[in-house]
Amino acid sequence: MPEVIVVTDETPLLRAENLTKYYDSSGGFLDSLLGNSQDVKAVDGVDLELYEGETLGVVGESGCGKSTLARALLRLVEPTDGSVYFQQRVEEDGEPAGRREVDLTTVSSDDLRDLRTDLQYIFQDPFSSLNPRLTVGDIIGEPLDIHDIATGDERTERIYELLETVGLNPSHTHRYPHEFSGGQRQRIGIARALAVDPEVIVCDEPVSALDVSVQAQILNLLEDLQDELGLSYIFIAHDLSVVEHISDRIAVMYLGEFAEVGSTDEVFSPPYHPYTEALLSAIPEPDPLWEGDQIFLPGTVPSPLDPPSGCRFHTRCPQIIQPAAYDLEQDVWRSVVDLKLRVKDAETLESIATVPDETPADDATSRTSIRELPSAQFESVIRSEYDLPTELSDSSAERALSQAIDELYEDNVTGATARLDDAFTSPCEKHHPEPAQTGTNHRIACLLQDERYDGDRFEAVDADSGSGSDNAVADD
Amino acid sequence: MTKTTDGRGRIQITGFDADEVKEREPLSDWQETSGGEAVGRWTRVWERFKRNRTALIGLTIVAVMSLLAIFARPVEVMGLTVQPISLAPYPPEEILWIRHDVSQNTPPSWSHPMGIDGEARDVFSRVLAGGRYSISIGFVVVAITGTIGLVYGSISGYFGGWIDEVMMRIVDMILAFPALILAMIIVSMFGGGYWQLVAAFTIFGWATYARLMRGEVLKIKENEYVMAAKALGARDRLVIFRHIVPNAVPPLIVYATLQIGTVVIGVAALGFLGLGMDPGTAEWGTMLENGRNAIIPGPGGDIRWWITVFPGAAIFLFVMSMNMIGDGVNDALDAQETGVAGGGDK
Ligand code: SF4
Repeated sequence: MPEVIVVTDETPLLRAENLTKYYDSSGGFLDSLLGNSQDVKAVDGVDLELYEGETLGVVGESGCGKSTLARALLRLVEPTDGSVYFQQRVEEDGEPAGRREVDLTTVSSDDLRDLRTDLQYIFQDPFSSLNPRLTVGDIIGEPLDIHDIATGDERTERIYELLETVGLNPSHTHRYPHEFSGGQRQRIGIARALAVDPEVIVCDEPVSALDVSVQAQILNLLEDLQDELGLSYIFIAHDLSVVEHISDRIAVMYLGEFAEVGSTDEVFSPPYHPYTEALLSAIPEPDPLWEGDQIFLPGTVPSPLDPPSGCRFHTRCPQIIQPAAYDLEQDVWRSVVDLKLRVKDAETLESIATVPDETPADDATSRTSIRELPSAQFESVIRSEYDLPTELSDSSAERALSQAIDELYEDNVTGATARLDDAFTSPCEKHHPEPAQTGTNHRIACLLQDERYDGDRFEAVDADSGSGSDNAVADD
Repeated sequence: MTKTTDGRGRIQITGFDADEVKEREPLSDWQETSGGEAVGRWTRVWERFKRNRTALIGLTIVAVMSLLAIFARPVEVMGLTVQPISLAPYPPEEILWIRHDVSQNTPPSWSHPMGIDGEARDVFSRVLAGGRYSISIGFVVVAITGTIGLVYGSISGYFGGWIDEVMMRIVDMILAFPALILAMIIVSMFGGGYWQLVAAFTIFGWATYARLMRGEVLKIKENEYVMAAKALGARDRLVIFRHIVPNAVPPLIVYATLQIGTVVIGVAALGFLGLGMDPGTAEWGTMLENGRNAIIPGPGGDIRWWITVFPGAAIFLFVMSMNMIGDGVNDALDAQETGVAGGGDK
């Protein structure tokens, strides 16, 4: 089942398979006793590889589960499912003797403690990641004590050395974290991670809490350290511009899943995942010669409590695929889907559309609900709310839409939901896109890249219920 | 200084490399010279506490009262005199008219500054020595309950889940009853006496500390440095006692300071109800109880006020000073948390 793509003969240093973390969102003991629990699907089946000496950037909006992924990778939170394999250095009689694969999710806590010397973590918030009651020396010395790396003079020596490595003065050893600026604190955090001489460092948004001028310094420091010590990084960030310079490969994450993984160049050039494309268009462009439109994503990230079916991005995707039967303009189609999704979630008519202020009203004070509008006006309010033309270009689509609006007018929300569902269901809602290979090491999880998509139509709709030859369909 | 390119976001910017950056303004206003010697956290708290006049007065009173209690009579440990000084002119239990020329119920005079009580005992000596019971029970009880509560609350808060659930339901059960009632039940079961009194306030007294500590631990646990310690491979014990407890303990200290006064009042209350020490003992609450009938005017129509006023004043003075200290500690620690030096705050 795991599709391991061998790009080089090299085995990845760290490899996650189907890594999954669900949080129980129930209010506590009583709730779980009553069965009221619901899972927050923070990370849902992520596969990733990290090769020696490279930097893998992981990008996503806040709430997409990237921090949870980072923590689950190092088992700082217990993963719900999946495995993380690490090629651990093995020593025999003090001599390096190759590597051995261990699964982080199953090792004993003692072995895990040993693995902490190979896998380290840099935290996002330089203010809360350092214990305010300990001196810098104690903070950096802690890993040395835990793993019996150095004691006495040797320990002091090592602390000085680490402080110098990260660009701090050894005389800072006896000071407390509050005496330092954000950037300096982040350096202390880096020194602490380096103390155990790790191979892999997971950097969880290490610069997002810092001033822009300081960000560059920290990024440079991380890059220098990588060259010097041969480190491999997993670098979490919330925007592409930060990881662009530091990453060899980039993974774009959306709602607990990877939408796209590829080398930095591949991610920054077509073919794009529609989500990546939107993120790229949002990078502020200082180049006045650049001509491009920013793609605005409608709505907010849906709740990971109940992620959308099929492709999780379909509630916001500008390129959502049309059913084979229609041929609408893409933005009209998007609007139709928006209306449909809203009707589905709506409990009352009022939450579907509101009367615009300028609507001529006989009695301006009482007319606040669209219920009271006459039929024709009702329809135009709905259409203008969702940017729909007065008539869709496709006649069968138009028929279904106007019937649904009529049903809404009769306050039959359920009926309208059923009709809209019937007429306008995108393949994106039904099929969970599997990552498709679009380059040597480039994977995009989007039906547009699926082989069943022929550039215009997605043809698997009928096939998957019939022949069963279509084994790639994974309905959630 | 930009070069146009066709690649999206691939602008080349020069003059922004690390060497140039080094020449820029320092990262913070902290200078090698401005810091002075690094001062520990408790030193800073003490500096702040010292500036609080009320708290210092309280501390002085408590210190003087404690010293007076210690030096009131010689202390013997297993037949060996470890403290020979005797400030009180008479043994507190001695009935004076047997060997001295005094009578019962004498008002204060130069030779007996607090008068003589109804059993012909020197009230001054009794008040001095009485502090031994009240004050030491206060400190002992708070030390024991605080420690139990700290460990209990830390475990409950740190491990969470059903462990927390069970442990906190036990605490809820204890806290459902008034502390003094529970103490009375224990004393009436085991009888009066020093260690019985300690037990009376200890057996259930730790519950509030536990609850306080748990809440604090839950808060501290969220800090990234706790996860950082785990990422370094620290064991639970180290995480709790090095990273969580030192950061969670300030509110506990404030509460404990105030609690010393409360326990002293509790001991006095039990004594006044006749449930504390043996009736003749020189303990402030017990003395009040003995002097109860002295408030009623005696044969000559006079009120023998000195028998109750002095032990009462001692209780009042001690508890008030303890509260003054508690407030001072609270302010000193509070400033620590929120001021410039505010460790974990942003
Ligand atoms: S599968 Fe459909 S909804 Fe998802 S990203 Fe691709 S086009 Fe958009």
